[in-house]
Amino acid sequence: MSHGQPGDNQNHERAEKVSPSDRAEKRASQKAGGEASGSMEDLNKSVVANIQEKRASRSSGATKDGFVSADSLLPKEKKQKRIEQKTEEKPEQKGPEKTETITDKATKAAQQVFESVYKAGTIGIAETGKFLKGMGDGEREFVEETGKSLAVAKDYYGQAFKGKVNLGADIKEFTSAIGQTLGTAGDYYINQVPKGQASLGKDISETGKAASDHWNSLDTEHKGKFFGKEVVPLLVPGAVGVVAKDIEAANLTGKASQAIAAFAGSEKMMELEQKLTAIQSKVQQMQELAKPLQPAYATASEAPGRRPIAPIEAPRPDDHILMMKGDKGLPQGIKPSEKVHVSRTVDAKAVVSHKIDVPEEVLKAAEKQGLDRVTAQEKLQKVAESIKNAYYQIGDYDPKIHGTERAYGNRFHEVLRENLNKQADPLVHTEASYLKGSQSEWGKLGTSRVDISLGEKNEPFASLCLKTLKAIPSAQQERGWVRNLPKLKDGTTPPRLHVKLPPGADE
Amino acid sequence: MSEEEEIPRFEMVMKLPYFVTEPIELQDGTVLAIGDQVEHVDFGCGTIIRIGAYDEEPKGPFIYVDFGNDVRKELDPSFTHIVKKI
Repeated sequence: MSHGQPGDNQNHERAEKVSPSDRAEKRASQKAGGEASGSMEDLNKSVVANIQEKRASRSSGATKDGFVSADSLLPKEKKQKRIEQKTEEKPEQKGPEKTETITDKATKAAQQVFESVYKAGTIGIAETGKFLKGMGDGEREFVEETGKSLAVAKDYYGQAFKGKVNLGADIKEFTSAIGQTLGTAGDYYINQVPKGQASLGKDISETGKAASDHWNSLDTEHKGKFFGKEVVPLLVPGAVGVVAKDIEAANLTGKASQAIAAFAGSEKMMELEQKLTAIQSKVQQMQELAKPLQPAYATASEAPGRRPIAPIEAPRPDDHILMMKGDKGLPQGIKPSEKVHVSRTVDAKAVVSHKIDVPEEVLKAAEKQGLDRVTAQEKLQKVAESIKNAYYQIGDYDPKIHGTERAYGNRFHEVLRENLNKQADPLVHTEASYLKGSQSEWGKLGTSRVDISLGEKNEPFASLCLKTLKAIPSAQQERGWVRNLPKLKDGTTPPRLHVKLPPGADE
Repeated sequence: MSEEEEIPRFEMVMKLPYFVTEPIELQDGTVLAIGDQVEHVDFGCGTIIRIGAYDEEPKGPFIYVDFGNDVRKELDPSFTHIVKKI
């Protein structure tokens, strides 16, 4: 099987299975990318309008260089603020006003761009700095290596960066789409269809995979380097000359500004868009072509000399995995309506609180046990807060800090237990043990232990099961809970809530 | 019908944040880092022990501050001010 089709998907999946810390970084990057996308579109519009305005007024001598000033990249409010700042600053200036050089202007513009793009988000200054440093290095290398062929890669990387600068999010999206296309078509398509079309698919697949793998393997600084070396020259060939001429003197952020400003309205951008449209239509064409080939692909596995492909089993009802974040891994018995959502609010004094939306069935169970709804809500609220606090205290799983996943889970349970026990709530019990419908001693043979039971200890109205990382309740645990936990006063089984932490552990 | 299917089961979906280790810079230019001491109008002075952000609405960064005596609060960073930088 050539790489690029189902294998390609697997590669993407593998690429997503990263450590929690990497995941946090990835999320931060994606988040920053997402924010950057929106900001960049607005900025691009602003920049295009500004360039047109400046070009129109150039004949009257209003502009000398056609570069976009820092202020023009700012939103209206910030622009006004800057004007006010400048007015205030003027009396302090001594001697004749210094003429701004191109580099000065570009530097200011870049600072504003990056402030708009990054400061609003949570990406750290250090990371942004690393990115810019890497970008400068990349540009320098590109200049030194001018003439190096980037032909095929440029087109596909251009697709990934079309219309915005988003730190890799689009590369992933693009390669994922390609992976899906090829997954549908299969390698039969790649190997059997007319030569030109096959090579297109293969090219896209291989380039996309290379881009994705490359991107995922880079740290922030090297992502910047990659960006500067491969993408900036693609977007702004003119900027390379400026960079080359003034490479040592130009501020790194200044170069970024030139890139972004030129990117917004350049002919190269138009050309790039056309190329991208052509690629997109070819991809669609591939998808259409793949449809009639699917039956052939299905039977191709039976052809002589080919390794038989085992049929993919349909997903079976999962009796063990009870819940996970989102819909992933939910057993067929649990419908989305049976999820308990914990929403977050920020009060007037900036305190963030998490409010649990307790399901009706749990409230009814509390009533059956003689407790009112408000009390039940309050207890679950307390549990939700304690879980959150335990998570904040422990953090994401890091093998260097926590050791094994089991050790992390034990620690999580321990901290949660401590948090709840400190509150000494008579209706919240941690690690309660039950045997044949009655409360029992901890550790006694045949008992079942629940992480948290709510209500009177010997007559709980609900129980809560916490699982960390990849842990899932075993069938034996399940049977034990049903057999040993006390029934409600009407003879029914108390509802059980499952929580899996940290979020994203199942991804 | 198996015993498991008789239990009303619910998935508790908590929208928890992801953590960042780098300092964050607020809109007003203030830079907050883990270990910094901040002051809150109700809880007094405390130390930032976590910085994170949420993917889901309401989006935005937060700080988790230890005010001592087992009082830890998740706060919107805009409403605190730095007492001491590390």
